Amino acid sequence: MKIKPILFTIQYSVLILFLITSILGGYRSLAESHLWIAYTFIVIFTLPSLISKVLFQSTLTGVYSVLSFLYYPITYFISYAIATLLDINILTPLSLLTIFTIVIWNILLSILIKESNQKYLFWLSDKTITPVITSSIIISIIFLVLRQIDSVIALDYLQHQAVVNNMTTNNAFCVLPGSCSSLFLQNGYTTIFHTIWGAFTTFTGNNLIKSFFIADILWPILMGLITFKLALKIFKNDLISSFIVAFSTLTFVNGAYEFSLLIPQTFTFYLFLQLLSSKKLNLIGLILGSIFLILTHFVMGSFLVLILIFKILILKKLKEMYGHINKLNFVIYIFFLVTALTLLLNISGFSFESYLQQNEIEYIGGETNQPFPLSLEVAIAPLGVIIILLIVSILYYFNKKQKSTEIFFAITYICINFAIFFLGPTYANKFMIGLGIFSGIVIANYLKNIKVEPKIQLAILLLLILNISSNFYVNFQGYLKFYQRENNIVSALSTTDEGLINYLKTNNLDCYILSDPFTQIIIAGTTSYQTATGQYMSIEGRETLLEFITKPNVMNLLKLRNISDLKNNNFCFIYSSRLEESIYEKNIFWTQNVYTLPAYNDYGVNKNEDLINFMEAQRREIIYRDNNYILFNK
Amino acid sequence: MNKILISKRFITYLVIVLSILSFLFFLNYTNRNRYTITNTNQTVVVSFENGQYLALRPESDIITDPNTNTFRPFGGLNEFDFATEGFDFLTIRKNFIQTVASGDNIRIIKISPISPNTFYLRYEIITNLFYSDTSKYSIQLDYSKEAEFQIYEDHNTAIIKDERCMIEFLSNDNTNIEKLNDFPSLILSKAYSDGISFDLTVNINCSK
Repeated sequence: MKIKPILFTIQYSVLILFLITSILGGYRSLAESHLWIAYTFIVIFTLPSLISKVLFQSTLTGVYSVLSFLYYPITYFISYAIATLLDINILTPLSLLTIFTIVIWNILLSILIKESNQKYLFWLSDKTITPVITSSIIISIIFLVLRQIDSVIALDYLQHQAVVNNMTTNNAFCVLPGSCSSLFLQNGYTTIFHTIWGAFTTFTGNNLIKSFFIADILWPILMGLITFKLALKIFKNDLISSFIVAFSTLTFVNGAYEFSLLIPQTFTFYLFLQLLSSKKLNLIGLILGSIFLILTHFVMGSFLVLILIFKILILKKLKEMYGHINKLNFVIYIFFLVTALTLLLNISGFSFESYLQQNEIEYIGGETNQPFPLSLEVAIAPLGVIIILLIVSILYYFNKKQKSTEIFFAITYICINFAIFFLGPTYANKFMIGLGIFSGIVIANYLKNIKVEPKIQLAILLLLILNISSNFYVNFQGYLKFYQRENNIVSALSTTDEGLINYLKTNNLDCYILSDPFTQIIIAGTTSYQTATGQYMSIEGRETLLEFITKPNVMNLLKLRNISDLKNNNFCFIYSSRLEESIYEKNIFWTQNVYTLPAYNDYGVNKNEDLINFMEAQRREIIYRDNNYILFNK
Repeated sequence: MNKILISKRFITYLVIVLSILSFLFFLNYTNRNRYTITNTNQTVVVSFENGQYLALRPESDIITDPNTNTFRPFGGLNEFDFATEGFDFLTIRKNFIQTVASGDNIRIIKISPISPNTFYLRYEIITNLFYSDTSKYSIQLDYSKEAEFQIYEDHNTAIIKDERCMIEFLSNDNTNIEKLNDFPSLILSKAYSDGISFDLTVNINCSK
């Protein structure tokens, strides 16, 4: 069977289908189509691999592919320069850039198909289809059981979208997200991620909400692909590698989200896996890749770079010194010891956050990590009872005569996960990133050697997937609880927000938006308005806001005007039903911690006549009103 | 050792044990209470899946008498303690106990979850005050928002209903239940004595 004609037929029939849809229904019909949005996602996130393979004659994943993601910040900068020179809206060159990207992607794909031999194409198709099918089955079940169509389950998406909104509306070129949005109190990364994210959501003109939803579906599949490659490199076995893909997709690490959300930290981890799975990573590649990782996420990038250095330089050197990996057990014992010590420190009440990050605690209004014994519960939660299997698998590794560097590394990686988690820096959960993949590798190393018939082995693997699925269900449901909105909707955005969003979009009010933190993040993510730092509104700002709506008078209005979150800007005030509920039901929990937000918004806005009369007296008229929001003029 | 670890028998037992444990934990999760019980200052708060809650405030307790002034035995700041008893696992559920003390007056609330949707709510109030035979002791259950209130004719059963949830209060000891005028609250009253108890079954039915 000839594979080239089949691949060409698929490639061009998809293009023709979209072209016909566009001609018949206009581009808007495409931008609203889930299929088209999925296509643009695939184009944007696989273009760097094609550049690496076709232009640099390298592998599809690896350092060239990682560095090829620079295509997006570079082309964004070119578009910015053109827009500035010609004094036009940056969206014009960015729209052309989208077309250019799609054309380039198709050309590169055509070259790849044309230039590659049959054998390679068969191999590539096989090694792509297998993980895609595995991931798709898992994702389909997750979405059928747990998700609602076009639901948004990450305020992070709205936060990062706010940067893109401001970049495109104000023709801005921001190196740091904080320069383009008031939602970033600290700059934890450059805007490399935002140029890629924007290329998918805004430059394409795609429907925003649908884009978020499609990203949630396709991101785990993309992660599954790179996980499969890494697993295949170690085990050279499709079934075992597919098991690792399924296992890691179903390990939900709250706070790390590596298989659930596409955000800077998970994107950095994806790049890290690309570097880790590449067969030949030389020193220059490591240096360039590391720089890119750090620029994509300062903390997570640095953390992963240190792990890369350990794997590629230190472990290699140790192996050379001692002759064989079998003689390096003492290194793992050191890692175990350090992990045990950090656990003991945690039990004794020590946490890095409470002793050395007092400023953060003060700002946030509390610690971000749980004390012992809850910390232990949090650490065990991602794997649940499967942690017993992990322990058995580690025991098996130590008793095995012939040890493997990759399993050795996976065990040390898991130790690092737990050690940093128990040390308890702010957002300690994030450092458990990758726990699923590396636990899966250690467990798979054990399961591939069990003395049972292949059919029973398959049954065991499926049963274990079922076990981890139930754990995933419990953990993911816990995560979704935060997004429970009115009318049984589980999403950060509800149809009741649409009226206000559309009003703000069509009327340029030239002001900062001040409201409860949840309303602010909704507005920041869906319009180009700046807000009073959105969901990160300071405790002081929250208290002043509550004081104002409870006792609307000139003094309190003055205090409100001076809160640091507004940075001395004019503001438009949105009185939401969340705020009304706060006054009349004394639901003021959201004023005590930066990470607590009121999501429900169905209380109504009919009671606070004092506030409305006061605002009128201040010549701040009502310019928009619905059942749950009142917007006052600046 | 590895011979044992990779043997058919060991892996079979291991997978069976893991499956049973996973199933039990999953069952424990699905069987969890559809309400959460917390203590904020001296108020016990029972939160429901619709985001609303029931507040049991000691300061709302009141002794009324047609001939004398009303009196709130726990009206100000009180000493209080909130504790749990037992643990949650499958059908076993822990109890929540709040003890509030104001001088010699003591008020104990015990909430005993009996299923994911039902709990017993028991008040025990011990006071040492001089009041006449016509005096009444009332406790108040505050719902967090306006909703539809239905009081049955026998005044032993009340229902609070909104778009998503229906919460039913059944008196197990013939306590008189009424709605407080203009407020989303229920008033439960009994003739005053030194030791009074209120015993209720609360059923919660929320749509998904």
